[in-house]
Amino acid sequence: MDTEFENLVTVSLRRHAAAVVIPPDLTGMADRARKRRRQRHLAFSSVLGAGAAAGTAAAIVAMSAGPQQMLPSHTAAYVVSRTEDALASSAASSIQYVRVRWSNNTSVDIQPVQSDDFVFPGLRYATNWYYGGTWQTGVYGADGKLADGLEVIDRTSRTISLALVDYQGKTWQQFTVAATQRGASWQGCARAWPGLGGFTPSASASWAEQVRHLLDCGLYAVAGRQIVDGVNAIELVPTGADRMPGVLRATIWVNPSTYLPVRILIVTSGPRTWLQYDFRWLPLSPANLAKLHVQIPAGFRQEGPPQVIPPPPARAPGLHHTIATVPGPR
Amino acid sequence: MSQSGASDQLRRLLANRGPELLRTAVLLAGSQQDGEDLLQAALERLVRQRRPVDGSPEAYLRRTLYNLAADGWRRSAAWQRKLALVRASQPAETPDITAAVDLRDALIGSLRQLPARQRAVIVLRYWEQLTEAEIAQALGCSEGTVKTTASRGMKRMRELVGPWLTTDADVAGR
Repeated sequence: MDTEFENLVTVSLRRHAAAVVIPPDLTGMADRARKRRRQRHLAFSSVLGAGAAAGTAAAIVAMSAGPQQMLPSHTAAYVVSRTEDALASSAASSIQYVRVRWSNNTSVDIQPVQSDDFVFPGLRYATNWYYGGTWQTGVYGADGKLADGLEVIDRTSRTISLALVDYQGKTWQQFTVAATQRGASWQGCARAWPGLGGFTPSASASWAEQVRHLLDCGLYAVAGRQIVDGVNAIELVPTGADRMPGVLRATIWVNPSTYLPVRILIVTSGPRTWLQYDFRWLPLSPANLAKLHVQIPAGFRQEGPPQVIPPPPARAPGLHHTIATVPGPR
Repeated sequence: MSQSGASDQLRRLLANRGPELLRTAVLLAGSQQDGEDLLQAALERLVRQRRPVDGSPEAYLRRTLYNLAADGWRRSAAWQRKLALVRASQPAETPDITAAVDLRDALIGSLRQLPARQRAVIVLRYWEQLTEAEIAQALGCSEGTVKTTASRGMKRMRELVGPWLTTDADVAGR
């Protein structure tokens, strides 16, 4: 049997099952089952008696009464309260995998080394694996082949180690940059928007803060439920209280079971471009942990560090996007 | 055990293991609603037991779930399966541009189209991660039957999702 297809089936079942809504009164099922049996018994008895017609109706009602569809109240407060609990248990023990896609007329850059050298117009998508201060970003070209890989090790507060692999040029570099401000503290609502950097894949540790901030400050509201990536996710939409410059809409979907993000979709105003983050939270398996590191194939030439390394920006490192419009379709 | 003692035991079981049991039931039945009904049907069987069940109640419940599902629970209600097909073919609530998502949706849709026994074997194998021997024991059949059923089920699923497999299967499998 095709192992890849088997894995696909396993993953599909897992994701489908994760979206199953657990009724809050699951324990009531046993009572309902008992009651249903009792009702059926009574209905049967009445059918035997004189009231045959009424009894049949009662039997039909009793047998067809489905379970009540009980959904938790999806209020902002509910989401906020659940987010922290979920993150405490899920995010800390998961590897964050993000696949980023964008429209043709959007360009992306890899941080923290902000330089034109790292802007790749014409790329198709990027992937990012993050856990415990280490992450690996892979950027894929229009042909679907891995174009560039970046490994970042950031376990100290002072320096960040990077390994950058150019798979097309068959070279790689390794260097260290000074760490600066890591993310931001979203205390109060004075700073309304966490900024695009706040949605970086590497900022998993601050997911709780960010979602809470957005809801507490009235910047986001719960819009309802939508099926996203096979998950019956809670959709969070901006209220319009504050708007990120250049952004028409930034929608967040969170998993109702774990309250971890499932997807973020950013659509720009003006020339319409979009950028989409699809999240997965993976177990700490050896195979997944290996994904945190770039692979340097044999024969690749090591180059010296870049001549000029600009100071890293004051935002959390990782894969950022620049909403830049590239003239004309490619 | 007294009636109230049994009831408390059942409540504890559902409080601790209910979500997992429901997820299994939903996969076996094909939808949330049918999954809840299936779990209720299994619970009814457990409640109906006059004698204490051998082994753990959870194991009994699981076996009942598997067997009800494999025996074409609600076999007479053919319209239910047709309804599932209609549901599967409906467009997603949100237009989705991710090919991997389409593929996974198609796979779940194809699972719903399998005969009950094939679906049960696939769910036990790839969701419950049971071995062929364990599946055979749970469903009361031979390992050879499990192998054949799984193989036919996977082959049928592959046929049904064939058009999707040319897309981003690499990421979908992660």
